Amino acid sequence: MDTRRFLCYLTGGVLLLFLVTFLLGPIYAVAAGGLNPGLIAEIFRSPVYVEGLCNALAVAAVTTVFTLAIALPLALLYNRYEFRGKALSTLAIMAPMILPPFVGALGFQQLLGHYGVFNSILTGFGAARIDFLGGDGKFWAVCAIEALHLYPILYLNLITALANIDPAYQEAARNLGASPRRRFFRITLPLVKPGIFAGGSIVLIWSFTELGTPLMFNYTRITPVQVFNGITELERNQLPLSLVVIMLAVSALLYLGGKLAFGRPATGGSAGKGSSGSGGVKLGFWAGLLPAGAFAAVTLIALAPHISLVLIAFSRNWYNSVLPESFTWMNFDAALSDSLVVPSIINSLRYSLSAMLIAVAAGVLISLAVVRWKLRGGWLLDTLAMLPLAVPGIVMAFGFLVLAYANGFTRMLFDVEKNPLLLLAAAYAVRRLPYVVRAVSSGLEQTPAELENAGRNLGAGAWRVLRRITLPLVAANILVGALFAFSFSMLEVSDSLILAQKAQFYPITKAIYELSSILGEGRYIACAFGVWAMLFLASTLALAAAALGKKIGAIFRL
Amino acid sequence: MSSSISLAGIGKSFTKDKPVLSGINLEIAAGELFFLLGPSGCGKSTLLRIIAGLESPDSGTIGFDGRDITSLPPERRHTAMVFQNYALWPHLSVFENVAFGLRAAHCASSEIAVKVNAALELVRLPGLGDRKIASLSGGQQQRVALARAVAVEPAVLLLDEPLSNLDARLRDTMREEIRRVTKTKGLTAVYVTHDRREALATADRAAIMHNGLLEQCAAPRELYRHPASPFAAEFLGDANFLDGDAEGGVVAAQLGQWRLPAAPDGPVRLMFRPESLRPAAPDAPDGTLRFRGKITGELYAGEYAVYTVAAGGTTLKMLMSPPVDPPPGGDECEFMVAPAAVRVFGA
Repeated sequence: MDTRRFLCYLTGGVLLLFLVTFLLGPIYAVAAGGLNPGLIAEIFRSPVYVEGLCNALAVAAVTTVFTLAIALPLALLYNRYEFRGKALSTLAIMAPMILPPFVGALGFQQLLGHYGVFNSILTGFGAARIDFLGGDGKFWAVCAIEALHLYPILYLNLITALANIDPAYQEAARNLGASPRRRFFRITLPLVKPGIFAGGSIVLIWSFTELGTPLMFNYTRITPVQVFNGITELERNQLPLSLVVIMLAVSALLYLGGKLAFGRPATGGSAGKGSSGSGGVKLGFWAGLLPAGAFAAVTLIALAPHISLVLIAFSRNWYNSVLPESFTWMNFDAALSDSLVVPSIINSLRYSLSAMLIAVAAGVLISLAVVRWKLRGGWLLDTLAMLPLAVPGIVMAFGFLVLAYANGFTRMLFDVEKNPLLLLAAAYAVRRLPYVVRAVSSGLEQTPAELENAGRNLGAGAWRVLRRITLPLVAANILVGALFAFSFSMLEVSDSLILAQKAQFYPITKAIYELSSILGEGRYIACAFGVWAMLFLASTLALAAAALGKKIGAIFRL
Repeated sequence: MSSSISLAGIGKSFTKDKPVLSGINLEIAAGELFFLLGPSGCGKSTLLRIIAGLESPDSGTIGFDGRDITSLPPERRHTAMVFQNYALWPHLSVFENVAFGLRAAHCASSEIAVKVNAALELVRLPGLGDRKIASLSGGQQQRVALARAVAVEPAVLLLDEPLSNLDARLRDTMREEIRRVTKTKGLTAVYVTHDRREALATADRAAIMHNGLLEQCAAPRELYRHPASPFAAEFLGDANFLDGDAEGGVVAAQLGQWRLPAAPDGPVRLMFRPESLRPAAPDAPDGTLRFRGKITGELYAGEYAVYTVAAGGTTLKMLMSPPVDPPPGGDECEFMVAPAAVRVFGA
C-alpha cells in the first residue's frame, strides 16, 4: 500500500472512531442501560406507558398520512405544470421549516385555544366555544402542527423523485391509451415509491419521537414526554432508558417496514433520467391560478401558527379576541433584555458554530472517503453517517446524558455540569452530519473524477488538487451542508432540552421553552424570541435554496 | 523532452473472471504519434490510464526512456492527458486552466504567461485567456484541453478519444491540428480511439486491441493492407470473407479454385477489400482471380458507391470510385481480384 492510500485509510479510521464515539457510543449507552428485560416487561405491563407508546405510534402514523396528503398533490402540480410564480413556490413551501414545531405550537394555541382566535369568531357569531385543544384535541393538534412542519421534507423528496422519472414512461402509457388515473397509479406512484419512503421514513420517525410539540401542548400521555419527565430520576430509576430502547427498536422496525413496503423501485431498477426539454404543461394566466392558489393556500395554512406567533410577539395583550387589542415593540426589547435570552443566543452560536465545523470537517472527509477514495468499508462510514436520520434525537440525547453521568473517561469528556459545549456541539454535529454528507456526496458524484485526474496528471499533488479543484467545485454543496448544519443546530430541540441543564448553558430553544412556561408576559417574550429565531433560519434556508436549487430535495434522503 | 515508452507484460483486471488487459507488450518511439485502436471495452482507455498512472497494472512494467516508472504517481510521470470530455475546470478561466500544470511545477509568473500564451497560439486560440470555459464552443474547448496538455511540455502526451464529442467536420479539422501540434513540438503521443479513419489518417503507427490483447501493431498502410487477423481486417474497414480449403497453394472456395501460393494447407479464410473487387477487364494480367456474379444492389455515397455482388451462393461488396453511371445491374458478368489483394488466414 502506498503512502497516499495509507493516509486515506488512516483518515477513514479516524472518522470511524469519531462515529463510534459520538454516534454508536450514545446508542450503546442507552441500549446497555435500558436493555433490561425486567424493566421492559414492566413498561408493557403498565397501561400508562403502553398508552404512551400507542399514542406516539398514532401520532406518527397520522402525521405521516397528513404529510403525504399535503405533499403529494403539491409535488404532482409542481412536476406537471408550468405556471406563474412556480419558482417562488418551492421557496414558499419550505417556509414552515423556519421554526421548530414546538415554537409553532405557541401560535397554534393562540389560534385554537379556549380563548383563541377561532373561538372568538365563534362567540362573535353567537355560537358556543369549542374546546379544540381539550381531550383528543391535543392529539390532533400535535399531528397537525407536526404535519404542517414536516411536509416540506416529503415534498422535496417527491419533486426530486418525480423529476427523475423519464417523461417517456408517461408518454408511452398515454400512447397506449391509459387514463390519467391509471397512469398515476400504475406508472407514477410505483416509480416515486422510493421517494415516498425516503421522505416518509424521516417524517414517521421524527413524529414518533418528537418531544417539543407534545410538551408544549401539555400532551403528557405520549412516550417522548414520559421519557423527558423521567430524566430527573434517571440516576435512581433506569425505566426511562428502557423506554428509549423501546423507541429505538420501534423506530428501526418502522424504518425496515417502510423500506420493505416502499424502498424498492417498482421496476427493479432506478427510473431513467428525465430528458431535456421535458418541462410540464404550460398553463395560461387564469389556469395557472389554480396550482399557484393551491401552493399559496397550503403555505398560508402552514404559516398560520407562525403568523399567529408574530402577532403575539407584537401584541400587548391578546386574549379572547380575533386580533390583538394593541401592538407594541416592547416584547422584542424584553426578549433581548431578559437574563436568559442574550446568553442563550451566545450559547447557541457557540454550540452551533462548533457543531457546523465538526459536521463539515467530518462530512467532507466521509464523502471523499466514500465517493472519491472508494475505501474498502466506505459503505460503513456512509451508513453510519446517515444513521442519525433513522435514530430518534431523543435516543441520542439520552445516550449522551448517560455517558455524561457515567463514571470515568466519558464523564470527563462530556461534563454537562461544568461546560456542555463539547457535548452539545458533538451531539448537534452528529445529528446534522447526514445533511452535510448528502450535500457534499451529491456534489462529488456530479463532479467528474476526470477533473481531478486532469490536475494530478498535470503534476499537481493531492493537496493542491483538493484545494484548487475538488473543494472549489463542490463549494456550493459544502455551503449548503454547512448552512443546514448550522441553522438546524441553532433550533435543535431534543438535545437542547435534555442536555442543557443549567440556565447559564441554555441554548435558544431551551430558553424559549423556559420563557413560555413563565406566567404573565413569558409567552409574549418567548414569541418575540421565536420571531428572531424564525428570521434567522429563514435567511439561511433561502441562501441554501438559492445555492442548490431543485437539488435541495437530495438533502433530506436516508 | 519527449520520451520513448516501453510496456512489458501489462495485465489488469477489475473483476476476477475477466481480465481487461493481458500481457501487453509495446514499444513506442520518442516523438511518435501512436494510436491505440479498438472497439469499446477492448481495454485501450485502461491502457492509456495505466500509462498516465491513473490506474495501476496488476502485472508488468512501464518504462519511459528505459526508466521504470510503474510505481510513480501520476503527478510525477510528466505526462499530460487530453480527456474524452476535456475535463476543463469550469471554475477557472481559460488562462488558469492552461496555467494549472505550470503553477503545479512552480514556474515563475512571467514564464507561465509566456508559455500559456504560446500554447494558446499553438492551438489557434490567442486572446481567449480571460474567457470562461462555459462560453467556449466544443471545438474551442477541445483546443484549450490540448493547449493545457501541451503547455507543460510533457514527456508523453496522452489523448483519450479527444474528438468523440465533436461533429464530423470539426473532427477532421481537429485531427489535422493534433498532428500538426504534436509534430511541431516533437511530442511522443499516445492517442486512443475507436475510429479507424481517425487512426489511419493521423497515426505514425497504431495498435489494434481486442478483448484486452494486442492484435497487431504497425503503420496504417500495413494494418489496412495486411491485417494480421480477420478481426483486424474487419475492424479497419469493409472486407469480403470467403471460407475454403487449401492444398498445394490452391484454395477451393465458394467462388472456384483460386491459386494463392501463400495459403497454408488446410481450412483457410480469404479476405479482400471491396475496392479490390472489379468487373473483369480483358487486359487483366495472368493469375488474376476471376468469378461470375451479378450486381444486386447499390449504396450510393457521392464520391463513391458500394455495390452488392451475388456470386457462388454468397454476397460480396465492391467499391467503385467514382460510381458507375448508369448503375449496373441485371445481367450476370465476370469479376476479378488481384491475388496480391487477397489475405489468407489459417482457420
